[in-house]
Amino acid sequence: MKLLDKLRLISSSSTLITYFTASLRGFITGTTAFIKGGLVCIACPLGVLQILAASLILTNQLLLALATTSLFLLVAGRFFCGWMCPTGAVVHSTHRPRGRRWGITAPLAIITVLVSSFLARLPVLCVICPVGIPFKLVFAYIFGIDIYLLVLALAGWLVLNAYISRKGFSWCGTLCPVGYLLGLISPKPLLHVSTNANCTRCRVCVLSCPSNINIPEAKLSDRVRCTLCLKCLEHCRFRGVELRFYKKKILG
Amino acid sequence: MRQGIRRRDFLKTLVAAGIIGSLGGVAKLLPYRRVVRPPGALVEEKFLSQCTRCGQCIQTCVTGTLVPCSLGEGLLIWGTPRVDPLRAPCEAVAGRCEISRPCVENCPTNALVYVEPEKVKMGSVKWIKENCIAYRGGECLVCYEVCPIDGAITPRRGIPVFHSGKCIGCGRCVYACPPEPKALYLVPDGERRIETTR
Amino acid sequence: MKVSRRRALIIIATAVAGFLGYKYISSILYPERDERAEKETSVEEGATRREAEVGESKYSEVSVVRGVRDPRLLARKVVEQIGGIEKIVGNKDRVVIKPNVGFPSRDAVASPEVVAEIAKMVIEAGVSEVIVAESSVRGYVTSFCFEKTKYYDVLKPLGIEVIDLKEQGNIRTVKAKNTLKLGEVDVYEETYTADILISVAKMKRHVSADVTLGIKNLIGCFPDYEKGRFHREGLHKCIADIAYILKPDLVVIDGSKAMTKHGPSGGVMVEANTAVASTDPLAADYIAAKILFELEGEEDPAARAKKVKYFGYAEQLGVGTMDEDKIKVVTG
Repeated sequence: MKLLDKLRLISSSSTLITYFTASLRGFITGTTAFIKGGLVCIACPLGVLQILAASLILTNQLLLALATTSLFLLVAGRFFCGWMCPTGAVVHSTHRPRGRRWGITAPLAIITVLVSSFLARLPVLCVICPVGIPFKLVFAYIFGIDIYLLVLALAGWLVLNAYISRKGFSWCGTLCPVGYLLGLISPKPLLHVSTNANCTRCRVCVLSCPSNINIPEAKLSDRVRCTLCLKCLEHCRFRGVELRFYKKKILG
Repeated sequence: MRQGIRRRDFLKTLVAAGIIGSLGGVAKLLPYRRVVRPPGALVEEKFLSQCTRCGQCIQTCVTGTLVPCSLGEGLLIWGTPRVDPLRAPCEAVAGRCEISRPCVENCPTNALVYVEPEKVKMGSVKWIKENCIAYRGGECLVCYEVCPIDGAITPRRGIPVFHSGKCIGCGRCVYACPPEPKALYLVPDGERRIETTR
Repeated sequence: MKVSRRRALIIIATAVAGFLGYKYISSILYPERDERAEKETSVEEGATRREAEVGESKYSEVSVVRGVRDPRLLARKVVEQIGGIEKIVGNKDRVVIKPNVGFPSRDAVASPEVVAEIAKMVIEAGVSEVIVAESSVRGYVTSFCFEKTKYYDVLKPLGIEVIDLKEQGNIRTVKAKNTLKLGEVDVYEETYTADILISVAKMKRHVSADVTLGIKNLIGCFPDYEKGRFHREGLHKCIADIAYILKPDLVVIDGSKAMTKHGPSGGVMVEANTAVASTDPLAADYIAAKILFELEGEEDPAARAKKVKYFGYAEQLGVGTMDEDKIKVVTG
């Protein structure tokens, strides 16, 4: 396994362990839909939209959580997807990009989820969300919910992921509605990947990108799909791609 | 390298999305059990649409009475809070949660709202007389002893009589009921739910 | 997507190692989790908390004070009438006061002023460690009951430790002999190992036990699951047994406001301004029950009090006497 994927597994599993410990010790409460620790709260933006679609209700707490989440997103973008989400770690370490690109699926998934929520009058995805499942499993362990649904949803997701991965699409880059919405909120965060003067336009980075972003000429609509997985940095032989914070180079 | 989308694939995706989307509508028809909700819960339909299943109420409940609903109780209510008097009673009346309720304060979507202790009614208690110690001739009126509401349980010749109209469903009697299996259980009958979020 | 066997093994090994590591770290960080379980296993072989002194004196002295409005004065007078607290406390140094704080309503509990006055007297007698300990009725949180009934407000300024047994109590298993029902029973260690146990009860009626006074009050020295068991196994015999096992050294019954007709909560309150105290728990209870039935307007309170089932069982066990010839009532 590549070094980056190992690091990703370590960082995402330590996120889960941190969540477990903090929940058990009572520092934070809630699952990924809405986590609260002291006065700080963060919420899943798609969860908020689903509540909005299902009940047409927006509360102060949700808005506050959404603001905090957006602030994090504006700084770090989809750092969560690439380095904190356990589901994302599985995708990133197993998926082999085959250069296929399909921009419409993720937005369509968001619309589907919202329409479905509106029709069912309940936050549909929150019940079976693949991003939330690892966290909910931890929650289930602490509070003794039955985990049949979680295991079922997890198995279903694994099958779906295997299918779309065989077709050449990565879950995180092309289908995950949660991740896509995170990207939509901040398409070009302070922490982002960019090419520099060393770039020879060889397109190796494009071929290595799970989200299949045309990195040398990335448009804003492409950047939405960037999970900061740093595979482009890993594959570039000319040190032509770098991770930047605002305009300062910090890696690559 | 194939970059564009074929029309066929696009249509297939649209159809898949349509099916998944309408599944949400179908999911609404799934059956689910009526469970005893925490005090100040909205009417069931609104409650389900506003509850994100985030578990804040369950995790912050000081008494530990709230548990998430299981899959067996219905897919639609899976993960939503339920009062389980076997774990602990709800202390919204004559307890620690009269003035401030962590479940309500921590609910991000106002699916639970504050109601005055006098207006709390989560359900009522049901009696299985075959299990009751007093009915079988023993000395036990623990349910009457622990009941915080005047007149919800009255003793008649050493046997408790339950008045579901006055019972608020706090679950103290169920929690304290000595026999195994217990002679009492909680049902949401007669619950008073909130119509709108203020 | 390709997961080689090697990769899968590495993932599984990492997960297992992570889990074990977490367990190890948490066991180092939070070792106190298992302590309580260890204590539960210590079994005390032996009949009772203290041996009953049989035939020490011919009479059981019961002191009764009536018509004193101030609960503090009431408590002081009633204890002084049986010779003062020094006689009871002697040179012991761990006194536990078990008040009746079953409910979060002032009507249903022994007044904190009475408890405070007794605690004060105990301190004046030179005792170093005075503890007020109680576990409320199931379904109520003891610390909340203490707070609502102003126990913390009254007792904390005196520097007396108030213990919520449900939260802070340690459990000890006791194997009792010669009892009616209870063989092995779990009891809160704090009350069981006390040098002197003072039961401060409220004078009130009880729907399943007839009256709840100095003996019935002791049910709060047992954890919740045992309270349920007492009802399953026959309440009256179990109450007699716990009186036999714990045998309080002093019983003070606070009747400044007595609860008649119903109980243990929501009964008819009567300003009785009465207090009863004795070193003989049964004699005190008998006299207090007589007063209680008298307040209710019972024609023959003595006969009615004799009908309380657990009094009979307790007498059978030698907890005390309810023979009026052997009881010397001291009035002020």
